[in-house]
Amino acid sequence: MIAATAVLALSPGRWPGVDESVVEKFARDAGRTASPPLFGIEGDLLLFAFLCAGLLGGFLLGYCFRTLFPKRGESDAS
Amino acid sequence: MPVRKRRGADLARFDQKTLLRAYAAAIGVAVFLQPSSAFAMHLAEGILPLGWAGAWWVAAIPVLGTAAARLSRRSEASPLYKPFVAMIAATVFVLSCMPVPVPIVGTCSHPCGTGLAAVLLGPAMAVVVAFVALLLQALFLAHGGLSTLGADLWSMGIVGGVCGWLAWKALRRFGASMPLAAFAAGVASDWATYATTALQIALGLHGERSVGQVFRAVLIAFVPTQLPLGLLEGALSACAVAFLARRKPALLDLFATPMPVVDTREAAQ
Repeated sequence: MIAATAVLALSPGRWPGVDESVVEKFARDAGRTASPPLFGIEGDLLLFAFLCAGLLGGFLLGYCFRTLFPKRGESDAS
Repeated sequence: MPVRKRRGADLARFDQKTLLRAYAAAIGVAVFLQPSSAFAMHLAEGILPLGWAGAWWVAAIPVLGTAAARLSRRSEASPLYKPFVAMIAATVFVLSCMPVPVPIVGTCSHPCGTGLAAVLLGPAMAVVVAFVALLLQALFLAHGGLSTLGADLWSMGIVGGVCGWLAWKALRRFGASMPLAAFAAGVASDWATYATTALQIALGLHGERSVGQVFRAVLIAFVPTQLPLGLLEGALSACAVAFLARRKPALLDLFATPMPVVDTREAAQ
């Protein structure tokens, strides 16, 4: 998955998601288009939102992991 | 006094190490999640007609309410339950934010993680963790939508979770190893999620054509991307379950059953 994500990050062209290549295509054929989201963030702000989401998700994941899987030496301290 | 001081120092060192590792995991996930121009699959705001979006919401609310009540009951019975659910919720959130490219096709999509959640927590809790992930993405990441949240919850949380759980249970009953059963659960949940999305699009947007015709067309359009991604999701689920089975096997039996059958404090030791 890391390799696949590296391909995505380094490739010069666009890699449309299936929402764009499949869902929106069928929606357009049916005369519907996606409306803007509630908080219409885009560009660098969206990048920042993904960064914050990744940080929070990763922090929660790591913290809960440490709570559930303490090392033997540390389990006494907890 | 010296003993107390040393214990205090040990605790401080433990907390500091825990925090540092959690920060490292967070930064790793954040870098990994950096979006390029590619996003993924949830039905966006406005894709479904309002009637269909409302119908999926109405159908999702009782399932979500039942699952939330179960979360509350289980949390009272076990001190480990909430951290475990939180960890799985974070995993589902991170996985379902992660665009994975399929180079042969030139598109990308994301794993769902609800098959793994259903294996570890049961299908009801897979609904709760999927709802949390979908709500956060719809509110703050312009990914999915609030009006289509009910439909997305049905495809990813309910059908995906139940299909993954059924695959896990069926294979375990026939004596399959845990990683193999988890692989099947991941694959089944991913493919079932996208089959349900295809059905939702067909029901809401079939127009002059028959529902079956549109369903087949959408499903076939999903196949080149989702076929390999489903296998990837199966492999991820198998790795996660194999890790848990080696590191703390008690967790695999405790929380996927309807109610706790042993004292989880003992199992945590």
